[in-house]
Amino acid sequence: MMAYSQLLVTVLIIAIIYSLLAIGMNMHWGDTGLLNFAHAGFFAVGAYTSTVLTTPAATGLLGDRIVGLELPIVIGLVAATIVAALFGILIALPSLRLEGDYLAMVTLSAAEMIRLIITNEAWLTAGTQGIKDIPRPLAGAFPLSLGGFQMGYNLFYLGLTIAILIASYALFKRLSESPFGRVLHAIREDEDVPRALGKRTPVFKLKSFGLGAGIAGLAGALWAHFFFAINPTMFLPSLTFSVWAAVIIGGAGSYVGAIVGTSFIVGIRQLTRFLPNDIPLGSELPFLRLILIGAALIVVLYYRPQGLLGDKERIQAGQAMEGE
Amino acid sequence: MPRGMDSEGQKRIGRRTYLKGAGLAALAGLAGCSGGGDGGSGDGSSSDGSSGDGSSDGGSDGSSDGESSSDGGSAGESGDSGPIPVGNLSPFSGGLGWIGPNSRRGVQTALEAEGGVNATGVLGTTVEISEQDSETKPQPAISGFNTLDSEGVMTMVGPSSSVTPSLIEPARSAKLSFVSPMTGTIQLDNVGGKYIWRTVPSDGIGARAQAQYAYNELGAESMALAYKNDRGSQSFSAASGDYFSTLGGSVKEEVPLDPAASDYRSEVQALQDADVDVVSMTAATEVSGLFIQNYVEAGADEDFELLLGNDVLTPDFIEEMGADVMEGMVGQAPAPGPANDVFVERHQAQHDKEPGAFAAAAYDAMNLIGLAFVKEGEANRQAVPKHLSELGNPPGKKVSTFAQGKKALENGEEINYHGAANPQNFNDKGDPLGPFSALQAQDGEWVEVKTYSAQDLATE
Repeated sequence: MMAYSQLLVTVLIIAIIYSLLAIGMNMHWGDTGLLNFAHAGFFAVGAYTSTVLTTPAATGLLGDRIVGLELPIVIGLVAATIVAALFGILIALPSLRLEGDYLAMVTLSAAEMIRLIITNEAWLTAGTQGIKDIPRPLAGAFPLSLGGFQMGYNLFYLGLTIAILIASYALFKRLSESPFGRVLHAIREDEDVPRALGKRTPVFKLKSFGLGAGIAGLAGALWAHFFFAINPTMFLPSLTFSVWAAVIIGGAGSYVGAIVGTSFIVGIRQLTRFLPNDIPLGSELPFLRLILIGAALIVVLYYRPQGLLGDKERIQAGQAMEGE
Repeated sequence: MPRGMDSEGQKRIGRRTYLKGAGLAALAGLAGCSGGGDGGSGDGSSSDGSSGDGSSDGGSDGSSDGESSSDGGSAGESGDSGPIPVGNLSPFSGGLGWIGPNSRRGVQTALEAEGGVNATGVLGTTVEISEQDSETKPQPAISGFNTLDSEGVMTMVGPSSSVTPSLIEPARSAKLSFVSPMTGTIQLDNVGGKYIWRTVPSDGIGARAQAQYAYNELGAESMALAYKNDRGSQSFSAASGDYFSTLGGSVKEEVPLDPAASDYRSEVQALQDADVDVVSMTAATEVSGLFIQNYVEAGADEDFELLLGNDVLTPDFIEEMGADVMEGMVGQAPAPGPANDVFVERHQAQHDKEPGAFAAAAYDAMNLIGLAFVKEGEANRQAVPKHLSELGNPPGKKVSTFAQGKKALENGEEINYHGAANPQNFNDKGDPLGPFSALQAQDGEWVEVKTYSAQDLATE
């Protein structure tokens, strides 16, 4: 029983951190219509920024990392958000004139560049060895005895991430419904329209990119501080594609959908872990799991092409366009 | 329009409230679970065990040791009822996906073959393996670890270097041990013991064999390092260079090899320019193959000798590259353990194929786990932390199968398990020490040219 609740807490934390990524992606794609394939890069920037700021420089045989500041974790989290947002703007600056597929290509290669830089610049990031012993916030205070029951660390971290998720959800939802959000939606449907109304659309697109990247960076930092160790192979493009899948399943344009879609994917990945080994083809189980996940995605998209909670406005707008 | 906006607004509040509510409900539910958890460990003997051994090493475990998780042995049923759950957390997909099946076959051989754990019976029952795929990535590995934890496994075989650093804290806080047959990284050199064990020697030890061979046998004074740019290869390479410097040589150049590159001509050129006596080149087979092609093509064999890593020391590799190309090249591998022949034979009989890389170490891991349960007299999570070291190390009767070990233990004797991968004599950090051989390619075969004993390779 105990162990199951521990597992549930861990899975929820994973789902919540991925949800933050999906929220950022939804701002890019769902709201603004930008094809961003650099999300794993922003996630990595966040994770590494916070890690480098909060751990000591490494010494010893493989410890050629000379930067390490041992600052409080709060600073790491804030800096991760800001640095990732800046990276987002930096990538967007030269590439925002591109549209659709071209933007996708540029962002995908930008994410790979970030990952390769992390892999090779060992003085800053410890390279392929990765960084371990990443501190957890307030780790010393747990387990807490609260009256009758023990509050473990994971439960605390779950509370923390839930709070951050709720705050981020509220913020992005509000942004999406504000005049700012309406301009983003207009850009998504037809960029000429807001431009004709005197809006400087590149600035809006930059802001959208920066905000989405920033929250991805925050997610990266939360990830690093929970999982103790990071290395560059955690930030392969497949991560970006998972987030895309979550946004599409949940329904582009819906922030609740982003969270639901993420929970769906994380949930199905975890549930398939309980498949017993002794089923037929049991030795191919790892691959069967991945096939099952893919099949589930196809089923959802077949029956609900707009996603589970697809945004009404977005669908209607799309239909209007087609009707013309 | 305004009407639409209104309903949208209402929905927003509704969703947010719902979300908060759901979050709070989840928290409350979990809190309830945690509260109830304490009563679960009423199993007298297991809580006894954990307090005896649990405090002896507590200092290094840090603050998270006392996490509200249950006491070691309480999860799952212990004793004679039902099979004993043991995990196998290995890379079955992802970058090291080829290792998982090798490890699985090694474990199966330890369980099912003659004299094996299940063939002989352990504590009146058998061991049941639950496999989890680490996908060679830290987060799936942690999910897999937690899944095994919740299934109530007593210990587990695995995982690999790429994910081990992320599992150190979870293992300590869940008081759930693992025995890795495939983690060579020197990052684990100073953190093992108690919950963290491995049955393959640290890269640091093999690297010392390589450095000694270069310095003493080849008389090299300068070395350059070339390595596939991943954690394992870099770790081996760095250890070799470091020990070479300690012996009195100098390391002049380091060249990482990008596994995605289409050729290594510029890297070979850089190594030629470095003007060194030997190059330690550590990489898996594909990278090594391409590198050696470019090395021969550039005529670099005139400039420096090449020392190879563990992964390429297979007959297949010589065949693939050509015996004349490989002639004279030297690599090093752990000298096969005393029980290797028996293992190979049983593996062949059971799976109709030669054991793959790390299979022997997985076999040893499973045998040792089975013996730990026998020694403890009960299947619980303290069995491995408490007994693995004494089972592997002298003094004691030398045994090389589970059946022999079980018999000796039941007669009240001490045992010294002699494994298939190596003798499995553990140091206090849970690392096995054992002999290494330097092997040279001669006429299309790997021939042992020099063997270094465990003493030769010990740190001090």
